Amino acid sequence: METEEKSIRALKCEQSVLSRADGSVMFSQGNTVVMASVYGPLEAKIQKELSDRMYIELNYKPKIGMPGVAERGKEKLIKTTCNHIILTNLHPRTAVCITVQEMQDGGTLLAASINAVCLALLDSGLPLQCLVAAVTCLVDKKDRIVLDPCINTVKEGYKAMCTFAFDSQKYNMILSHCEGQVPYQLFQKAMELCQKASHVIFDFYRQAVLRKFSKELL
Amino acid sequence: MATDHKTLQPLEFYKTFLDRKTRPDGRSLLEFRRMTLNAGSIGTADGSAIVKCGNTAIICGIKAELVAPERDEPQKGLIIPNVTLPSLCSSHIKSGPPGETAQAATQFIAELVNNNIIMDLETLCIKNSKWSWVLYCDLLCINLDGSLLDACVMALVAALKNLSLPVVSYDEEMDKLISNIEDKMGFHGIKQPVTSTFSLFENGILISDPTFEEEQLAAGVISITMEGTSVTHLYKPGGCTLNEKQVKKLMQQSELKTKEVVKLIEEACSPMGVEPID
Amino acid sequence: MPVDSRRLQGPENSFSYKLLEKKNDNEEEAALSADLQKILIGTNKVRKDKRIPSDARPLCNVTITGIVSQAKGSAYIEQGNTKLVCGVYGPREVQKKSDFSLNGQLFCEFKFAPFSCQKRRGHQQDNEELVLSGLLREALEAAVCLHQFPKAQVEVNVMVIENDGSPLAAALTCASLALASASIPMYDLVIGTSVRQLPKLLLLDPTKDEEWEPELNHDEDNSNLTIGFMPSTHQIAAYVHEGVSKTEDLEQMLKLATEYCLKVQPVVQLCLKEVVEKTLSNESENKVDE
Repeated sequence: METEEKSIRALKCEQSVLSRADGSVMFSQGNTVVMASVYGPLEAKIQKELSDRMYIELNYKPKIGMPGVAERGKEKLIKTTCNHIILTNLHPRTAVCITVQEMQDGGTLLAASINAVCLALLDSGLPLQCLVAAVTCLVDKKDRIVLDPCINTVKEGYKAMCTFAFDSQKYNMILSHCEGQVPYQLFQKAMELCQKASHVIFDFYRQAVLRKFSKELL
Repeated sequence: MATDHKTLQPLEFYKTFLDRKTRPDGRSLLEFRRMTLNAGSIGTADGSAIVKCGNTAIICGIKAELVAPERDEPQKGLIIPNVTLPSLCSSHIKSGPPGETAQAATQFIAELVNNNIIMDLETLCIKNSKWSWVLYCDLLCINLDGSLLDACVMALVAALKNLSLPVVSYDEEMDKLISNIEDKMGFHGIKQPVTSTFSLFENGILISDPTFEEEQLAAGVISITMEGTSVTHLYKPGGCTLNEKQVKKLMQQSELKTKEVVKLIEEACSPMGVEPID
Repeated sequence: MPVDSRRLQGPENSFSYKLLEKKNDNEEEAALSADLQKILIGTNKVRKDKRIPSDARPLCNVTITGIVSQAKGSAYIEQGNTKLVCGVYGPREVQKKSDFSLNGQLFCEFKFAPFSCQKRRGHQQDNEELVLSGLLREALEAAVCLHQFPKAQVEVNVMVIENDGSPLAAALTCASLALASASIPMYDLVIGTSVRQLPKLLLLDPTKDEEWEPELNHDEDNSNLTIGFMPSTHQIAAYVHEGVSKTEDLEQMLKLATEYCLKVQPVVQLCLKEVVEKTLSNESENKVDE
């Protein structure tokens, strides 16, 4: 077994991997690897310009092929999350371009993408209201909750798969995306479990930032 | 005076209503709009339904076709949902290929379908690994005024219930399909998920069944899909945060709506039901 | 064909269950070409839907306001089983700078819903829809006072929900009602109607089965005529003729069509009058409130 049931998989990241981007990160969560880059604030296209805040453009690139409807769904989820965490009203009439590139699918791509975007935003130095950490859990056919499942567990089939994202201030829910049928009690349990697990990710962010700045000081 | 205030400071204008626990259209905060449903009014479709939730109007038409099932899932049929927002439905939609809203809505419906929340896809199989039905479900928005997903799910379920197809069977000796036009059939076991959309405002105020305007002003939306008392899909794409207490409150509200919608669908789709006269 | 990545695509090789009944169809087709007239109308000169040849289907469920609340004006009509919605937006800024013109412009989009015809339609506008959009635009341009909104454009979107013959004719009537409800200045309403010519017989307002089909009816005296007629000014804004017919027959077809349009005019006007009265009474109520 790659994962224990109550913990999330090993997190690794390398910040500033791209030299031209304002912020970039290569992020891995177990076997799932995602790269994210942030460019901005840039000049917005006239049609996209918003008079009171920054426009966020988000592109999700699958490993192979062209982005389709499923990717567009993910884009919307990540984009609206960014809309909440970035202090968009500090940069009116500008745009920021965030690109997420899927590198390896080891399950929980959505959660990994959100975490990667958060790290990339941190790396870019854009003013943020708070951080966000996303955790996926799965309810298997025997009603057991599996935290941060790997791709094999996902392929075995499940009753429900839930991804939650929490903010770093009060650990309230920013995003939730659950598919599959679960009774409410189980759903609540899953949410609590993910909420606890999100602390691990926030600690990881702190470590990552510490590491980055200690390197820069040397 | 009021209209000036509304155009200049739409959010402030709206908040004066919220402070008094009411909304510009006269609803209380957690009140839903009136829903109407009419099934089977389109003759060229194999199954159809027209849903109106307040001003939002969705037409769902289903065209059924036959296909050899995919290799990796030989016992499953297919449902291909597509949400179309033509430039007809709102001044904010440009003509051309579907935009982000339409695609996100399509993806939402596809997730419900692929998780067997609407119906078990195996019932669409005619003969294992030989033939199965493919249902092209087109959800056409005629009038976009908020809570798109609620109306889409309702229309899709009603149209599937209304579906009437010829009985097609597979003749093994001849290796071909035989259809009987006289005999009509529908599919059993169509579940009744109901989606309820809520808008959230920064100060923790929740409103149900938002209009287009309210969706634009709000700090976040959440769409809860329930079947009976269990959650089948929870969709909260970012926006301002929610705590557990609020989630619980919304669950209760959507349970109430679920009951109402199920009743409405049953009335409209029951074979004994009398079609409403306009 | 490029893949449309913005929609969910079905399997490529699926086919309609109607093809399984193809054998019967072929027989019917053979019979159809042999004696079309007998199939379409019985010996007692009554059509399949119990109309006499010179009868049109009644216009019903005409709803003018509120069908598309987001639009400036909208209309919904049913002519028999042909059902369509039209929404009008504008006048607003012309988006493409290259389309600049001192006169006002009309932008028309004509679309069949995927489930509106016997055969499943694609999501993208096909050639037929493009042609119909063009015809609609040309007809309405004659009726709308374009000089009243220079440098701006009005968008007319027509969506056919169910097609049971004469969609263009119904679209003309529907679009002019929607334009009127959007308070776009017009010289006159455009009322559409179509006539199907068979040897020695004219059918007004044909259904889908009665319509002229290029593959089946290529012999003489077989045609379809759709006109857009402006009843008050007695002028023709659209004239679409398909098939082969003699000039003297054309005159007759035109006469039948215009007579019908003149008959419909008061009905359509009444619908509009009701809308105006309603909005006026609403406005006066609002004034009292203030």
